[in-house]
Amino acid sequence: MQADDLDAFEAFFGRHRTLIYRTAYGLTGDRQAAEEVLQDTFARAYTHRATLLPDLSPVPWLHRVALNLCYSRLDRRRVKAEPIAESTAQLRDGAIEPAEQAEQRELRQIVREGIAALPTKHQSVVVLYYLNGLSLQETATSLGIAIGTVKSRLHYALANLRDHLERDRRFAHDYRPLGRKEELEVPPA
Amino acid sequence: MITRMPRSCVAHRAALLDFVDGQPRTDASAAALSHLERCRACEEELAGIVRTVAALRRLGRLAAAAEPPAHAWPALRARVTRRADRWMPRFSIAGLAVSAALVVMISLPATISPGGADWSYRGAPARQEDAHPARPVVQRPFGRQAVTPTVAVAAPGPGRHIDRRVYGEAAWAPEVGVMKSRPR
Repeated sequence: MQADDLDAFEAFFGRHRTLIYRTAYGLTGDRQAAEEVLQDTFARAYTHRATLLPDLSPVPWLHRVALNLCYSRLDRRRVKAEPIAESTAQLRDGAIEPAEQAEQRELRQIVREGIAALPTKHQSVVVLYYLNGLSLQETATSLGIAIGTVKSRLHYALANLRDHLERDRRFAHDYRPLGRKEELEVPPA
Repeated sequence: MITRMPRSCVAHRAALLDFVDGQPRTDASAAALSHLERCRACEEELAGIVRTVAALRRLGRLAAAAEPPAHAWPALRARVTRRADRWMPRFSIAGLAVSAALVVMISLPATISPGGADWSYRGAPARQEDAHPARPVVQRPFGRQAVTPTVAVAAPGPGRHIDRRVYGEAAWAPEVGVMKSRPR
């Protein structure tokens, strides 16, 4: 990989592309933007291949680059980053009402903004653990930190994120997680 | 007013978060659940965390359904190889430019001076006036007296060359090896 070995780089790309793509897609909500972030991230990895240490996991580096690219893209374009094609497909299937679709899109955007407001080390654990669905152990291994550190960062991140989301009037009043309505709905006075 | 969280609540928060995250139950989580039944603040906190985690998981489900496109690798490969190839013509052009500049620098003195460069130093001038002739003073009706500018030229030595075609033969004093004045 450190040499100009394209086969090794292809294997490297194949190993990590799904993680980076899902991270980018989770944060931008746009397949085209996610693909661009994927390309840009690995193009940078190829450029800096000589500095990537072979005995360390490249995931934190790749993840950091991908997160920065996502946020710079979101800042630049201020995208309401939801793919129109998927929205129209869901509407066509009758799976979801247009108003609900718009509401969900807005809520996802609020969550993305909440993640963006977190400190960088908290962003990484939240994105890997919740958005990419890695286990605690996998998250710890990917970031090269202890599992206790992952849990600690998750707890702080969740507390911060919860504060951020609850401050948003749209989230606090409108949102109820699926399947938990009976647990969380306030009984009428 | 800032209210400090009771110590008993702080002790159970981590276990409650583990519970929300679906971690295996331990003694700590059992104690935290019994605390939850009595503590209104922790109950509200937990409800907020549950909403947050649910929102994150929903976003995660959206991301989990996404797979990178099949053409991602060919596109990336083309990009990185194109980037590598792009330097080759630049290096070629730069090399050619440097070579051409070197050739010009080496051959220029011989080209300008048909007889070749005259590197021989002919010794110091016999008289001081030959080396530094007196500047003619131009009389002006008023104001400061102007002095005709002259060009002080040192004797030619290695690396210094006087172009006779530019300055003219008259400017060249071969017997002393200095240029007297610059033609107007």
